[in-house]
Formats: sequence, structure tokens, C-alpha cells
Amino acid sequence: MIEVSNFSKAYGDTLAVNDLTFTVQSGEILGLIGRNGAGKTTTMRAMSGIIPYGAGEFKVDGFSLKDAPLALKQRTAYVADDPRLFSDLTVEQHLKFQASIYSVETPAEEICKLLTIFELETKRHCAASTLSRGMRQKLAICCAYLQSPKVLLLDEPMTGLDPHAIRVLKNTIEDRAAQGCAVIISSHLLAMVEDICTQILILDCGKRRFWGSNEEFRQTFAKAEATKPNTLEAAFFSSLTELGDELNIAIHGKSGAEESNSPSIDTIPQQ
Amino acid sequence: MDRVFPKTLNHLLWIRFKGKLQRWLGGFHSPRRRLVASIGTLLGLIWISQAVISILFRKAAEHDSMVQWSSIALTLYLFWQVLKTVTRKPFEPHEWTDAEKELLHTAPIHRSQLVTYRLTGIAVGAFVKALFLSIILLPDLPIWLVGFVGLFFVLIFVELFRVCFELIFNGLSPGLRWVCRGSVFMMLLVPLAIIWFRTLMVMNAPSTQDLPMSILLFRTVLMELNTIVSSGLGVAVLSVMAIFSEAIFIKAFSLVGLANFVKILLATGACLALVYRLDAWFLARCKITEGLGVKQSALSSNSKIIRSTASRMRVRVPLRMKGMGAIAWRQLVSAYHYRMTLSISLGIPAILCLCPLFLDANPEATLVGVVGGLLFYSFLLLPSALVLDFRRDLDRLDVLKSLPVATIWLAMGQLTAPVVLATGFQAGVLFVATIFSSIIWSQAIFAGVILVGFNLLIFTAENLIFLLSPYRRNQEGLDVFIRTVLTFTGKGIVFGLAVSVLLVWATLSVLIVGMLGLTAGWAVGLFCIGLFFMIGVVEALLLLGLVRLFDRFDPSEDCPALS
Repeated sequence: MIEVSNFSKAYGDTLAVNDLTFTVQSGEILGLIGRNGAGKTTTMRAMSGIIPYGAGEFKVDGFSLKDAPLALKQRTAYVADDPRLFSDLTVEQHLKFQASIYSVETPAEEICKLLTIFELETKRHCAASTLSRGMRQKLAICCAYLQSPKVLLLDEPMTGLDPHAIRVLKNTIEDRAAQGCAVIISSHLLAMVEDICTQILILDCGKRRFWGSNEEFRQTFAKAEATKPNTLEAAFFSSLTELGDELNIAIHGKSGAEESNSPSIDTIPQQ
Repeated sequence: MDRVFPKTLNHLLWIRFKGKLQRWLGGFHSPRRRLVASIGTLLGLIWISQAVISILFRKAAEHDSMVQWSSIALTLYLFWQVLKTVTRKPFEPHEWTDAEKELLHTAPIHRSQLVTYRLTGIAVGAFVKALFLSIILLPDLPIWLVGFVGLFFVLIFVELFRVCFELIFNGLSPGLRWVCRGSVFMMLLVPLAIIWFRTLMVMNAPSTQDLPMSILLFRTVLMELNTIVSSGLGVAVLSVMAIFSEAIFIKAFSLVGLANFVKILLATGACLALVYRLDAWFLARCKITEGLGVKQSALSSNSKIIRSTASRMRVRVPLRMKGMGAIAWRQLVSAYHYRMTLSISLGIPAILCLCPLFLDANPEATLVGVVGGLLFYSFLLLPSALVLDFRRDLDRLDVLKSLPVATIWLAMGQLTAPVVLATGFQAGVLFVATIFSSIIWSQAIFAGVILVGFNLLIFTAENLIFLLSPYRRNQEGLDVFIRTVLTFTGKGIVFGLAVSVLLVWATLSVLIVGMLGLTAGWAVGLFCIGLFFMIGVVEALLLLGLVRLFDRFDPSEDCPALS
């Protein structure tokens, strides 16, 4: 469903993402994990067509971002970590706008359903500028769900949500995946990632450190600190150490940094 | 000193300046920024050359008239600040940025120190502006240094006055705000009406000189304005600014001059003290208003729930039209929110554009006068009044870029609201002009059609400039001042070039038709075809540029940072 191949992006002299390759199949939920500045948001923003990129290719459902950007965007929904809403539009107007842009077939029903699920009914006629951080996040998620995307890109989706909304979101993400949607979640909440993600992609300084199933990830890296329980959190910290790199070499025959034939910054075209 | 203005805030001002400079220098790595920098440098050089020429070759203005006209200009500037405040929706004075709210307002810094921090920023801006102005006014300033100090104080005074007025206006209850708005409009409309009727009387008198109508009109308006400001009421209104003007244009060091400086120091000091007082009053008012708001919200929360349930199934989605419809709808919803501000900012120029109706001229001359006024206003000021396009969406460019809408439709959707509103405004003016004069309908409609193309052109160009060099709205400071100067210089050059091209084409049309031995009507036809063709070609090129620029725009790198 999602194919990312050899993606690189540089900001001036800083290489934000370096030769990243991975795929996410329909129904899979990929957890994108990494330290701050690892390149997670850059990857997601490039995938949704927000930022131009130097090298690589993105494909969704066979549609390439370079050759068929509109078809790709029609199938993709992106929820930013700090959603930018239209301040003068009300909650309902946001959803109407989204329904029109994405040609939603039964907008009235879908809008009512989403407003009920995310408890936004009472805020229906409130301007986006008057909403709290959590409410804004809920509205951005509603906008994303309204278009019934085949690919969901969620960047820190739990930020600002109350416990009930977090539970609702987790359930709805799993439901969407069960219906065939490919989901990528970037999050620092490792417990949540462990709960719902079937695949894990670790990014470190713009490079792919690990990509595989949740189970495989824990098996690969938990050995680094044998005294700790075999959790995703333990595996994550282990993966970022030198020992973790050695384990990766032992199992996969190459380190995270060496997984790809990394191009130098000079070879990435600047836009 | 640390109690008045902590070292931390002093340091913050300095590092912000350094940061701006570093960002500016660091931004030159991209071709887009280099292009913008080159255009900016060229316009800057043109502006500086003009300034130098005017300094070197301009005859110094007569002292008394300079004092009088600068008093008028300063009073009008002061009034403009008042008008700007009352036409805006209620807002938080001082215009704290989000970063300032989050970092400074939560820090252990006294409110008065924060106000001092804000005023220091204003003072730095005023210093630079005063320096620019004093250089331009070099031939007119008998003692440059005194003039510069005087200009600095007058600019500070105007800014402090603005802050005071903003604090008062936004601290008032909604009802009193309307009374305030009404009073300000009366203060604007009554003198305008007096000047206008007096001008009409003079213009329609049989003994008018043999001058072009526009020059005669301008001269008469100035003369009438002069008569009014020379009256007792006029002198009283101008008296505050007259003190500043006299101090700026002082001829020699004297006791009178010193007394004037003491007066402006006292006036500025009083205004400064008032800012702190009013700020405390404003905060107190906010607390009371918020208390009332909480009570009202509690009362109305139940009815809101009932209403929202009742309106559950009424959802009408805007027409998509390749995405353009939804994008335009979104901007028009925003325009509806600002209907009051828009009505005022378009209503006053509409009245001014209708001025030629009151002159005893033939229909063609009246139409030319009305259309000329509309063109001039639309070119220079209308784009700033109708910011309902990319310029308003700097922080939402991410969202726009992720939509499944082709960039050409997205750009056209973004341009629809300002073009429709501008066309509506112009059509309204032309309609009124045609109803109340003997302008021929077909000519008025033709002018309206030309204006649609013109509107597309100016708003596309504005957006192109914005994407080349994006900026944040309501931004104050030196960079905005420089941007405004350069933009107006650029617009002036383009306007001049456009008029020259039209004149050349008009002459060529007459020559071509003459060579072919056709009647004069053909020349008009040929001119119009050429005009449409030129507008179409330029518009297509600009739109193409806008589309390319938006496609290549990288919100992560190209958006200016939040201050």
C-alpha cells in the first residue's frame, strides 16, 4: 500500500532523512519511532506532499507522488502534531470543507457520526480558534477520518487528548486498519505503539535503524540488556546503543546506518 | 535600573535582533531568496536614488508652510491610527506574539516591565524611521540634529497615543465601543463633507481657470483644507502637533525653541505614564469582563446543547469545482466574519471614487475620473484591505499543500474571494456613478469588464510577491517598514510602466487604423483588443509563476519564524 524508496531530504547543509526505504501493507500499523530530530515528521510531511524533497519515491496504492500527486493525496490523510486549522471556520464548516474537497459521498451522516464519536457535538458551531488543544486535535482527526483514506499518517496523534479520547482513537485506528487502511503513527508513547502497532520503524539521525515486525524488534534488541523485561521500550533504548548496532549486525548482517547505501549530502538535489 | 527594565529583557531584545540578522543572512542559500534579494536591492537603490535626487536638487520648502503642512500630516497620521483601531475587531493591545505570551507572561517579570519591553521595541523602530525621515527632509530641516530628535519624539508620541487608544478602546464595553466608532466616523465624515461641498462650490463657479480637471480638483481641495485648518477650530485641533512641528523645523537655538522641546518632552512623558496607567486599567477591565462571560456561558450552555442537537442533519457541503469552489468558499466565510471591517475599508474609498460625479463635466470625463480613481486605489491600497488569499494562510500552507487539488485550481480558488469582493466593490461604484450621472451604460459595463482582468492581475501579483518573500500579518518593526517602502516603490514603477505601455499602444492603434484608412471607431476596437490581450498574457504568466512557486514552496524552510 505505502512504498517509500530511497527517500532523502536535506535542509541546507543538514541531512534530515537519508536514503530511507520501507513499505507498509494494507491493514498494517507501522510505529515510527525515534529521538527528536530523527526525521519522523519530515518523512510524514514529504509523504503527504507538503514539503518538496530531494531524492526518492513515495507510492500509495500504486500512485506515485511525483507522477500522480492528486491521486496519492486523495488516498492519504495526514494529521500533524500541531494541527493548523482555519481559525474563522467552525467545527462543522471544517468538516464541510473537507467533505467537499475529498468528495465524501454521504457527508451529513459521516459528519454526525464523527462528531458523536469524538464528543464534538456541542462544539459544532464553535470557531476553531476558540477550541482547546485537545479539541483541535480531535477535529483534525475527524477531518482525516471523514475522507475515508487508504493511508493514515498520524504524527503524535495523542497529544492533548484526554484518556477517553485516547482510547477512542486507539480503537478507531485499529478499526481502520482492520478495514484495510495502512497506518503510520509517529509517537513517543512507546506503550501505545507496543499496543497497536504491528510494524516498527526506528529512525536515528535521519537513518533507518530498524524496520520489521513488533515481535522481531523486541527479539532483536531486548538481548542487549538481559536484566530488563522484554518490552518495546527496553528494545528501543537498546537499539540506540552501540551494542544494539552490533546485535543488528549479528542478526541482519549489517548495521542500521549501513543498511542503505547512504548518499552524501552533495548527491541530493536541492529544491 | 534593573527594576524598571530587567537585564533579561534587554538581552532578549538584543538576541532577537541578532537572530533576525542571522536568519536574513542565512536565507540567501536558495535561488528564490537570492532573486528576492536582487529585486529588493534594485528597488532599494531606486528609492535611495530618488531620495538623494530629492535631497540634492529640491528647493527647501517655505518654513511656515512646512510647519503648517507637517502639523496637518501628523494630525492625519494620528487620526489614521485611531481609525485603524476602531475598524478592527476587539483585540489584545500590545499585540503579544504567542512566544511572548508563553515565555514572558509566565516568567517572573512584572507587567510594567513587559510594557517597557514592548515600548523599547517601538522606540527602536521610531529611531530608524526618524533617521530615514530626517535624511529625506534634509533640505527643509534648518538644524538637522534638532529635526531628527523632534521627529523621533513625534513618532514615539504617535505610537504611545496609539497604544493608549488601543487600551481604552479594547477596554470599553461593546456598547461604548460602538459609540466610539460612531464618534470617530463623524469626526472623519463631517470635515470631509465640508471640504467637499466647498470644493464643489468653487469648482462649479464660472471663473475657473483653464487647468486639467484633476489638477484643479486637487488644488481646490488643498486650498479648502487650508482654509479649514486656518479657522479657530482647525488651529485648536492642530495645536498639539503644531508644537512638534515647530520643534522639528526650529530655525535657530532660542528660548522659544527650548520651551517647545520642554513641551514635547512633557507631552511624550505624559503619554508614556498614561500607557502604564491604562494598561493596569485594561487588565482590571478584562477581569471584570471575563467574570461576566463565565456567568453568561453557564446560563447559555444548556440551550447550546439543545440547538446543536436540533441542527444535526442540516449539512450542505460547498460545491467542489475541482477544489476551487471549496477553497473559495472557505475564504468567503472568513470575509463574512470581517464584513464590518471590510465595509468600512471599502466604503470610504468608494465615496472618494465617486467624487467626479459632483463636478460639472461631460459623461466621458466623469467615467474616466471614476475609473481612474478605482484603478489607482485598487492598485495601491485595495490588496492590503482584501487579504483573503495566500497572504492570510501562511500558517496553513501545510494544509493547502496536502489537499488533493491541482495547484492551478488551488491558486484560482485562493484568488477568487479577493477578486470577487474587489469586483463587487468596483461594480457598486460604477453602478452608482452610472445611475446618478449621464454615463453610458455600455461604457460603464466595458470598464467593469476591464477591471475584472485588472483585479485578477493585481491579486495574482500580490500573492506572487508574498510567496517569494512571505511575511506575517500585523507584523511591526523595521523589516515591515522597509518592505512597505520597497513594495510601494515597485508598485509605483509598475504603474508608471503600465500607463506608458497603454499610451504607446493607444498611439499605435490610431496610427495603424490611420494607415489602413479606417474610421476612429476601429482604433478604439483595436486598442481594446490589445488591452485584453496584454492583460491576458501578463495574467497567464503571473498565474504560472504563482503555481510554480507554490509547488516549490517548502513550509519548513520558507515560512518566516514566529517572533
